[in-house]
Amino acid sequence: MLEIEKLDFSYQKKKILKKINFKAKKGEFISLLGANGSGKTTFLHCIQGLLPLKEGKILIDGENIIQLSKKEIAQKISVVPQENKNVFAYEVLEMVVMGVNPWLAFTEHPSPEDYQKAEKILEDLGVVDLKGKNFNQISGGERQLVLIARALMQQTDILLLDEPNSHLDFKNVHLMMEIMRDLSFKNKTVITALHDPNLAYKYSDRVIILKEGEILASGVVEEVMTAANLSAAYDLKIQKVKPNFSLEFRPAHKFKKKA
Amino acid sequence: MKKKSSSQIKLTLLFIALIFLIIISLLLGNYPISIKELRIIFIQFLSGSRADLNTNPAWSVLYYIRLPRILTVVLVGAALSLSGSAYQNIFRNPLVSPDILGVSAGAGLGVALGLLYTEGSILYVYFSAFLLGIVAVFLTYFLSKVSGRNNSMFMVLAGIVVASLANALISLLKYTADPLEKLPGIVFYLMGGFSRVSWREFYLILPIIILGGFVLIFLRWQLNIFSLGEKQAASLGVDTEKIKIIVIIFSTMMVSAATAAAGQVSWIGLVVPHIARFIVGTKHKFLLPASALIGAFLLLLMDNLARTISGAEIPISIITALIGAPFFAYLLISGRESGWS
Repeated sequence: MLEIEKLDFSYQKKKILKKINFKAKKGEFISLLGANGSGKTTFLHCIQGLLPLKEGKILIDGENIIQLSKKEIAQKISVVPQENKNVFAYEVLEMVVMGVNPWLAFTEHPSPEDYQKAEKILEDLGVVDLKGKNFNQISGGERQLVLIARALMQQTDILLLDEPNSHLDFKNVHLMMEIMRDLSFKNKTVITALHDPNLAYKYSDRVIILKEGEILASGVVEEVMTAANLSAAYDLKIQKVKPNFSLEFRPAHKFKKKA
Repeated sequence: MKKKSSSQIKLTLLFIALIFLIIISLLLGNYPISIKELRIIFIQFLSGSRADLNTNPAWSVLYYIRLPRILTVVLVGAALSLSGSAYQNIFRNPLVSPDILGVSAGAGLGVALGLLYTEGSILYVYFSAFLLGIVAVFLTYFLSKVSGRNNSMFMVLAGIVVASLANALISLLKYTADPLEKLPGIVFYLMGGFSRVSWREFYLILPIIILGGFVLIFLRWQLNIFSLGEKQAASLGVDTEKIKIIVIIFSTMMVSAATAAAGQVSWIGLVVPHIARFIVGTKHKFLLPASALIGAFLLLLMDNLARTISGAEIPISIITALIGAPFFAYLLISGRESGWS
């Protein structure tokens, strides 16, 4: 469903992405790993069609992204940005309902049914009590959930997330990862850039490790996430420690949805 | 749904307040007119007895002097505030306004050029005001983009550069202008004021401001999404470049028309959108009409002060700055913790 062929991207004569080949199937949860500046965010921006491609092709359901309008791309791909306060704040429900925009005509505005649908999505995520609150005045974790709700409102098959955990605390990080994994179980393709290899290892199906704009390794978690690959990716000697001899803190059970 | 109706009530109240102020403004001035006289004139006007009206000096004052002035002030206040709201949203910056982006100075330069080189023909003045207003805003936009730092603060700085350049050129024009014939006209025009306004000015700016306001209100939903930033708006399917260009062109058209009619009126376009957001929130469906109504109300209030506070009329920009600057300082200090919501 998502195919990338020989993708090249340069910015001010500097090659940021080099000959990237990649395919994602429905229902896969794919993590992008790599050091800062390795090209993860640029890669995600290219898939969204935000950057002009020099060479290569990005195909979604067989259609070349260059031939699609912003609206058509937004009907196929939704993006969850890093949570951040807005300059001008909206109510949570209003933020979520904005996700319906790709399906509206230029002159159309969201209908009462769209608002009901947005409320239902918030309910499913367990945060319907936030609907009337100011987006800027809720916590970082709650904001990230609202952005996920907006992406779900977009009803796309592909979700892109750019380091969604960067401002979140321990609990919310694991909550986010669980939500992403659940979405992949519901046949959505989830592609996320992550800082923490341990999270990628624990939750995702496949991993792409980027280094200086090239794919260093790509494949199923167990095969690709080796000490050698990670050491090369982060320029740091990394060892894989067997769980029996190490200590790790992790949530003891799955998150329960708020009533 | 509850909030929606409360915003509608607030808009209705703002509209009633504006109508009330317009009626009071008709009574104010050197030639005193009582509410009773106003009522009689109104009845005569409705019954179509023109002969009675023409013999009444109060009618001449009302119809030929006060009414066109008041309605023009209302249009200019609405135009500056609407475009201020739109600029703040498009550039995602609560500190931008027509004056800060250099549009007012650019349009002012256009006015000065028009007055100097076209024998003061009003159409040329309007046209050159619009042309240079557009050039100024695109120059500001281009400067901040070409720097690679497309952030809010740099846009403000670029606007200051463009405004300074335009103001320097205005000074140069003043310096070279004939000190007896042209210079006083340019100085007085740019200082801002409505004393020279007649029905002609009103009818010239009316279609431009109605068209601009209509376009912005038409785009209210896209503007909501745009305020999340260009990247997020694009990922939600908004054609960001198209919306940005349309909003900049129509907002600049309105500011240029306002500047051509009234000179450089500062602060209104910056402060009013904040007051409007405070009252009705950030949704453009309510924010834009509220900005227009509050802008019209405040500028009319200030114009009333300008023409009644002393024997000679005070340029409107002095009053808008005297009230607008401290008010904006208050907004900054009063701790808007939730951003500029």
